Amino acid sequence: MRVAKTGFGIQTITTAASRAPAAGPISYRSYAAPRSLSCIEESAGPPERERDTFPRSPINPFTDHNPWGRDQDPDQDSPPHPGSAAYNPMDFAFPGYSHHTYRSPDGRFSFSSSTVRGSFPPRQVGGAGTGTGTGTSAYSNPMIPMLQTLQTILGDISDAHGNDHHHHTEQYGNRSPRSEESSRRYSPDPDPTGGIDQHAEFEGLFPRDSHRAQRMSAPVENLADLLGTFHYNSSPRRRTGRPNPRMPVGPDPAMMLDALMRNIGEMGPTGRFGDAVYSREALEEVIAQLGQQDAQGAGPPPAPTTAIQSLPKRKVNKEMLGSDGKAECAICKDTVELDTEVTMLPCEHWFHFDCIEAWLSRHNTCPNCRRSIDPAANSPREGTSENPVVVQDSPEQQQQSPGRRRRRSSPFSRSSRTSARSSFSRSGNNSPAQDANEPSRPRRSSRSEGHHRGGITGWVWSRFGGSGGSGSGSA
Amino acid sequence: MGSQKRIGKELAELMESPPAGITVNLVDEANMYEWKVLMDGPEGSPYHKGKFQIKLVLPTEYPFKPPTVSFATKIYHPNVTNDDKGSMCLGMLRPDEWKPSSKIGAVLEFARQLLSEPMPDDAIEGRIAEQYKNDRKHFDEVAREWTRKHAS
Repeated sequence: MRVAKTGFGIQTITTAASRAPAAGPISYRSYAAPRSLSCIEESAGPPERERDTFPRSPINPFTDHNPWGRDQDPDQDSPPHPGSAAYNPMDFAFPGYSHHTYRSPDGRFSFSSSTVRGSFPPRQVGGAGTGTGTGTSAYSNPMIPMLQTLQTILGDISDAHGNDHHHHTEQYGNRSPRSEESSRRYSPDPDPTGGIDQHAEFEGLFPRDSHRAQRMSAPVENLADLLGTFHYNSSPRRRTGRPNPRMPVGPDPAMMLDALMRNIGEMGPTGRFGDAVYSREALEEVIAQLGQQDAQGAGPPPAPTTAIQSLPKRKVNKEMLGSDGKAECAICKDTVELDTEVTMLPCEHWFHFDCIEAWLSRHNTCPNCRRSIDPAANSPREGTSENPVVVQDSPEQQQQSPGRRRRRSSPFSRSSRTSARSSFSRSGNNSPAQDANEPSRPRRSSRSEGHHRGGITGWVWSRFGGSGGSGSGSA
Repeated sequence: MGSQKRIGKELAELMESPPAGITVNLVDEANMYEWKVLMDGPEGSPYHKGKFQIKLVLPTEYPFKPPTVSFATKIYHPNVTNDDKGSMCLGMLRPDEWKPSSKIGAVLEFARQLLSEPMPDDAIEGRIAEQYKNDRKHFDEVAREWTRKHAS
């Protein structure tokens, strides 16, 4: 007997990041957004020179965009046109602001970066404020234009890929990643084996089995996993629908950004993925929910009627009565005489049928030893050291031997992903059932690889930060 | 009902041969589901010489659902709520840990054991647990004082 434990099965983060070797052969054919920004005035029109050079490709209006440029330019009706020869971003830059543009030699993509160091510039310059109009004072927070820009970019990219991803953008527009719609985020590309579908399962808290950890809601343990998921989702095999001539191979950037944003977004407000919590508030939320549930009388689930009915019945013999020749039904505490018909559980504890039926219809465990009457629920706990069984719903594989650490293959290479997985199971660490489920749970296998940093941070850490233990997963 | 039969059996057993320091009675002869338990503070504990009245309530689904144990007598203890309910936090009574094979006698014996050995790590009153762990002398003083004041 013991006093109540508060052991609720809280998971602390022990996810690990493994190294992500260089990406496989992936090419981005085009990365352009046809629409202009909605969050600022129509000042940054499509640069003329791009229109001239690439008539068939949509123009990227953000190439030289500087969201703060206009603020600094109250005396001009419009900033120098980015496409014009006189254009030089630094002309109207403030201290700490730098701007760089890069175009690939073949012109297929371009980057532009604006860097602001130090404090933001004053939003109103001078008293006259003639030409700037409304744009400058609309944002109390200088981050808002950036966020809106990002949002627009996402929307434009989605459009570039056809309308099938359009709702992603809406989702972010609403800033409600947990809306009902989020449960079907990937509905346009339904595939029961699709790895990314497990994202859809997560809708905040759901009733939990207090005997097990809550199922994971698809955290991103490392960047390699994340990118691998993108690739899987956008591999040509899966994109059989509308072929997109601009995207013959490679990941769908909208997907990538969407998934990235969603993961960041999901973590932001709660700091929690399933039982993996990243903040004290989230931990307390989980504890509170468990406490509440316990008070409501949770416990093992009921056994199905058929299972109860199919339990074997025995006549009590001398052996069953034990050494003192007396036995009682542990439920009604009545003495059981020889030759009474009793019902035997798989754990060999026996009871009156009426008694055990009443209990099993509430909880599917033995009243004496609390073993489940479901043989399938018990067998996984009896794996051998040669062939340990991975409990399906456990987000952590607790006992990690050094030999279990799996090498991370290129996240973009589907074939090497597969081979890595099969070698993983060949080494006897995966039950067949686990392996069969693998396609729908692609990140299960990489969950714990020894050190305690999860997420992109962990990946960065393993890649650039720590020496020693953190590099254990490298090839 | 099956529950009544078992409860009656357990009650008879406990009245006939009560565990040390424990006496059981029904609150109301007509109601088998509410028990009045008198518990002597165990020797060697600051509750020694106190008499604590405990209310044990059995659900109609007993033994399929656990009983609840609450102290009617105020007690200074890390595992008993310091309010008018006086709920005792017993692991074996939690819905997911309850086993129908557990008997009321065992529950009560365990409750008494908890008076001898509080479990500050599973405390329901964190402040008292803290004191129990870090300042045992003062804990004992207060517990003894409460026992003298409320339980004698």
